[in-house]
Amino acid sequence: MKKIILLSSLLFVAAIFMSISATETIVNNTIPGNDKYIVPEKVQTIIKNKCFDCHNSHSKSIKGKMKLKFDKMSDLKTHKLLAKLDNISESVTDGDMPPKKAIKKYPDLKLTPEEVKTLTDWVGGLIKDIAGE
Amino acid sequence: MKKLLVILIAIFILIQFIPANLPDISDNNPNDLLLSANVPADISKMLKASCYDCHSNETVYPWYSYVAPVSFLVSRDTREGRKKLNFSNWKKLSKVKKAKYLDEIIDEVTEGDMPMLIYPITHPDAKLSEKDRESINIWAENYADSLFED
Repeated sequence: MKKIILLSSLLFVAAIFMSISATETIVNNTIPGNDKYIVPEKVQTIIKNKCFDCHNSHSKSIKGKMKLKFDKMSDLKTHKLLAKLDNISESVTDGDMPPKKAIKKYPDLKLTPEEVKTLTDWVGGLIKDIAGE
Repeated sequence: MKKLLVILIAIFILIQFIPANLPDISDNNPNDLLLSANVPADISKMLKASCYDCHSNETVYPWYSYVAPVSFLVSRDTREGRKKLNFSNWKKLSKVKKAKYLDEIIDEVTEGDMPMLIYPITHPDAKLSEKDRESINIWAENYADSLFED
């Protein structure tokens, strides 16, 4: 019994660490010069819960991986980064992302209007900062 | 058999009366890409031949594009093409949108999705070779880069 408690608490701690590292991947890699462009926690949570599973460099979704990898955004050139950011804003505004098919299977993936606004506000501000327009 | 033919001909004649609403043409486009950006001559020629019929206001309608049902198709493709990206309005786009479109151009041209398969059948000049596609991509990449150079 003691062993089980010990084991599960170990797992629990490991899980916490894992979720932190996933979050940090987003924080540290999303934006070049990340000390200047900090990703707000609210945005991180949305990305982590609703986008990251398909849009990371180890994703099983080939299309998702091809279009956008949140953990590799710092590798992008400025123009590519801006294009991706603008696409994020557009696709969540138009309701194209997360894909309808995915939402049908996992209804929790659906973005609430507040979440869409949080994302688009963040993207909009970031684009302004980077592009200066 | 004869009856069927008569019916088909009748349908063909009748659909000629359905307006196709081909999008308007305009030669006066001061905001056009080729006027506002420094596009090399070879690229400019390719864009004109392969993209401009649907992605600008300078569409050249061949005679058959006035004949239904082809006219419906041409009308729809031109309308949708311009809506997606209209090179005639290029100068008015923000730098970010320009970057996005250049990025999309690279994607489409690399994957061979553009020009649409049906288009070069009637426009042989529009066919892009591997080398053409590479040149367009290099141009687009450099142009996009240059937008954010300080």
